Amino acid sequence: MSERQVRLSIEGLHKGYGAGAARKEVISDLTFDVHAGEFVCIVGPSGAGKTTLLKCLTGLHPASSGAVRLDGKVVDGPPRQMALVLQEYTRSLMPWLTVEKNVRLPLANLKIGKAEREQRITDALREVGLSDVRTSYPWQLSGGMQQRVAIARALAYRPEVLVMDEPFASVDAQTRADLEDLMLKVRQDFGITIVLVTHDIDEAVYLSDRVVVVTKGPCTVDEIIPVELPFPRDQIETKSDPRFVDLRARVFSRIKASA
Amino acid sequence: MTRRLSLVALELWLPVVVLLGWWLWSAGAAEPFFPPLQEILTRFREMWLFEQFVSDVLPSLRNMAVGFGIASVVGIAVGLVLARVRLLREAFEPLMHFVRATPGVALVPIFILLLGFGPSMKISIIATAAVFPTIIATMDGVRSADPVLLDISRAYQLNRRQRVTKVLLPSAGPQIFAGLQVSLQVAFVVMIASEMLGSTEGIGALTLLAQQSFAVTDMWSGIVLLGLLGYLVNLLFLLARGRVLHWYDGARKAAKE
Amino acid sequence: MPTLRPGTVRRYAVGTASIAATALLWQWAVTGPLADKPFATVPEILGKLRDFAGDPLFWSSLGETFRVAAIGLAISVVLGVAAGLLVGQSDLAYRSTRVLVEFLKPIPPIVILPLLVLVLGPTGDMGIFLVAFGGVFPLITQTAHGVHDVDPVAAETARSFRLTRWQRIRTLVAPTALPFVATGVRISANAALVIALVSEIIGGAPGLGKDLVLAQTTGDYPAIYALVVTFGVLGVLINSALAAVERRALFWHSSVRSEVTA
Repeated sequence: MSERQVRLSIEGLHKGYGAGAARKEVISDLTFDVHAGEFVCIVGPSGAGKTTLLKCLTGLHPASSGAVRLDGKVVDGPPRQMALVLQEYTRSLMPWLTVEKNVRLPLANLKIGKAEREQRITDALREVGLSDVRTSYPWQLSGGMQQRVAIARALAYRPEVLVMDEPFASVDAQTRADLEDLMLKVRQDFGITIVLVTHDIDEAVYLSDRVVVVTKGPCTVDEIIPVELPFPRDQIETKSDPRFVDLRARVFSRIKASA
Repeated sequence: MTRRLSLVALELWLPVVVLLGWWLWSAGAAEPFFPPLQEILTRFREMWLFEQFVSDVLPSLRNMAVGFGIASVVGIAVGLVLARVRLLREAFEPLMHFVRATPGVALVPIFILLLGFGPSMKISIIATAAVFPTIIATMDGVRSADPVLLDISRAYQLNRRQRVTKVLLPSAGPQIFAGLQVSLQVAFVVMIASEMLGSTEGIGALTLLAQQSFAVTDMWSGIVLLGLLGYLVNLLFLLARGRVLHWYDGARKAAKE
Repeated sequence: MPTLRPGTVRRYAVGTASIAATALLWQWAVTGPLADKPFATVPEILGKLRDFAGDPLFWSSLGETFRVAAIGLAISVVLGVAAGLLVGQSDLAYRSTRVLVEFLKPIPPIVILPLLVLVLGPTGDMGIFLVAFGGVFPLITQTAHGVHDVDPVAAETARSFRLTRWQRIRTLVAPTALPFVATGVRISANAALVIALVSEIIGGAPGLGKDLVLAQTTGDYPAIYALVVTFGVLGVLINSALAAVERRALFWHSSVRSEVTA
């Protein structure tokens, strides 16, 4: 896996707010790579600055120093090859647009024909299992379904890298398991690179090729743990695999030590 | 079905009783200021349906529609710009709150001095008085747009036009319409005031002239027409608002349940 | 004494500069390209305002306008809250009056002004009636809405504790309805000054509004603009005073945190 091409590289990333004595360092000297097609989870204690990290990764916030590179090019604004799914699904979808219009909105600027655009929307909605509710409004759907709309929007955009911030933190346990499996399937079907930020250790181990454990205040890489569990993964089988249990304990102890 | 009927009856019995009471009382009472309702309605039909409809009612409504239309477009555009450009906002906010606090009717005498008594004066004063509630509401609405949506818009590379038309304006929609509703009320009042203060045509002018010449029934028929128009204009606005903001009403209802 | 943050200082500086720039622009326009138009220069307007300050007639006009607005508002509050309580407490009364109230509410008071002038003449009483008419409907609907809004669970609890009607009103209905009533009062109070001026400008009742019409007919331009400036200042003062009172009295209620555009 390590011979594969590096898609996203974070090198010596610093991010702080304020100046002088009041300056608060949120991210300090953070370095890691994400390979093409890889599923990487960033996990750390709450308040570790994970959301700030994600804003730097996606180019929404500029780095104080260091750099994020996507395919070798420095990220200094949101790059076209990246899509974003956030925790607050009720706030990240446009309540005035139907499901399909939400998915269509980012596609309007892409240089693709109408037929391809509509095909992508159909494919993305089928992938997440929402073909039946195309003309519904997001607020008519359950939380899990709303998050599926956000995922479909990201998929139809055909990014190389999908960045997700705590995407399943606000849904119930069953929905969460379904959505986790959906993400594994999406990675399989679309061959995209996924970076997912979470505070849930089980989720991180279950989804990842590698888990990046970050420490609290300021946020920096504590350890990168490869997860050599076989695919396809299964909520019951994988999670009862002794290697899964070991990995979970290992991540847990790292987080506890750093918190 | 019977339940539905009884609900309608429950809502309508009092207005019917009031109208009937007015009809019967005014028919018998020899009050000079309160002529029989029957006569008022007869005059209403004679005056407005349709003898003076084209000469007076239509110009009044046209002035209001054009003035309110200008106020809406300018108000939303200016509000949007002020919301996005901090320096302009800081420069104009105190002035704007000052002008908004000035009653539009008080500006009518000035506009008469400047522009005379014609329709251009009326449209100008209506637009000027009505623009400020919409500017302020649009500014507040655009400024309170959810930062999550702005992040999403940037991440998905929406261009400026899309950000304005697909994100900022719809998200400010509920506040913009609240502002437009106030603007519409102001436009209606100023329409009447501009006619009452400096004109011989228009519904407001005819009503006030009738009062001054003690044509009491004519005056009443003008009041009834203005009252109906006030109600209908607002109703029309609410229908339009409901169409545009059906997503907002739906989402609120869904959130309550 | 709160310390001023740099942003606040900047905001005041820009605001003051822009008002000064507006005054300069006005002065340039009315002495230059618009010199033959019915405008007044900034020194003339300021001078007129200074004359007003020493003129008992101005103060008696101001007092009259305020008296009309205040009495009219008081009447609308008393009537509106009473009617709102009555209407809000019973579903029967609520449904029976709904159409009537919803019909009358969007009709601005200026519509009935000719009738009032006919019956009451161009007097302060006419103005008071007009202000009361304009203010009463927002208060009825707001109060009824507030009473209607009482949490059904809380109402059930109150009944199971066998509270008397009066206890129920005091402990349950009043606190729930109060913020709604406050909003209604603010809407009506904002309108009161405007309606009082309308009764003077168009209805001919004594007060600052009538002074404005007199200044217009006699061509006293500085007085016209000085009066309009006075109206604006009064409006701003009333708005901010109401907002401050409401914030202080109802700091616990969510409606205060998000300002309504009324």
